[in-house]
Amino acid sequence: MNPTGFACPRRVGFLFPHACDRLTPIGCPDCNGGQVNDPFAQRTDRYGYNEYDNYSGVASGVYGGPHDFTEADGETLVRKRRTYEDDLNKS
Amino acid sequence: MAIDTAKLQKEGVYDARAPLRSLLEDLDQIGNMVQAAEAKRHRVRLYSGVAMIVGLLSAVVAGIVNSNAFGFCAFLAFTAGVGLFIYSFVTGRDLHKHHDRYDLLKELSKTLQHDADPQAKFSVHLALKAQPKLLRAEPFPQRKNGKQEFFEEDFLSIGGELLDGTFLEESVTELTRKRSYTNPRGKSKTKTRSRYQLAVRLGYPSDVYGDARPAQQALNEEIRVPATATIKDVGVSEKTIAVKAMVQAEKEIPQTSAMVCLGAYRILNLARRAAGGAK
Repeated sequence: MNPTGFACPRRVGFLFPHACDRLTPIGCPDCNGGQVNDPFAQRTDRYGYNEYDNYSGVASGVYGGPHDFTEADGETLVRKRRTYEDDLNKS
Repeated sequence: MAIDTAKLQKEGVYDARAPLRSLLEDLDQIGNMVQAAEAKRHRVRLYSGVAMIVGLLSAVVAGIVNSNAFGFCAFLAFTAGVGLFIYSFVTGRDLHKHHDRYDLLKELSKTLQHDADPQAKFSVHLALKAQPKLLRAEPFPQRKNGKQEFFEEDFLSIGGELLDGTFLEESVTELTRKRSYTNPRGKSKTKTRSRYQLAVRLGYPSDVYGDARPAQQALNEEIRVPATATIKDVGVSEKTIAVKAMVQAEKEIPQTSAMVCLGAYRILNLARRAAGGAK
């Protein structure tokens, strides 16, 4: 339950993109308080992987263009964890 | 989570299954324990120095006043000083020797935090006390009385599920070569060299990523690692990506681990595009 009703539209993550679950952008270390448009793609702490999210030129006919990985993809990538209430085996 | 301090001090082993945040709190506690052990060693050494000085002064006084009582005190104090000095090297020796290992686990945990559910439980094993296993011993014919032994020690592992359903496992093994020989001046010498084998295994969900093998072929990209590390093996199957790297220094393991995971996820993120496009 999100009391503020805020839903962050940005992709976050170090290894793979996923939805940001913060309740406010204020003080967010990923988007720096809303300053960074795509925190996943624009990370600068990936050592030698400067163009980590850029697949341009990689078998583009098969894998599509570089910008076809959207925020929605990030959201669907996150698997909901099974909660206690969801687990029918628990008493 | 409360850590088993007695087990940690006696066996030098920390095993837990908990969310990363909780593990990091435990590691802070272990860090405090290591610092306390270090402070104790310094304190014991200080007491040892004081006891030896008291012993020497007592000996001087005993000589001046010709007193057996002072002579006995000198003997007692000096013996106690020597005993404490030896004890200072024994107490907390294992925690002192491998105090970097908890820092290493901390760094690995911090990297995983970006892509793990805060409630997801990770299993960790950390050995602060060295328990190397002898692999083989053989002559070292290049040197007089030369002998070399090879050891391995699995001292760290961490595993758990990430937000995308991938099960990540990392383990670090210390590989040690110990050479002993007699040098031309007749002195016995022992030289030890360690390397670290980092193994990363990602069990990815096929409903999200499909089969990663075509993506690996299309990407045709080496997994990057720091200059002092080398990739020994990369295996991509329809369910897993497994990478082995050899690292020269322990302090380079966190960066190597992060780069290996990034390299593997370069493949997976591309595979996911194909899997998404095929749906």
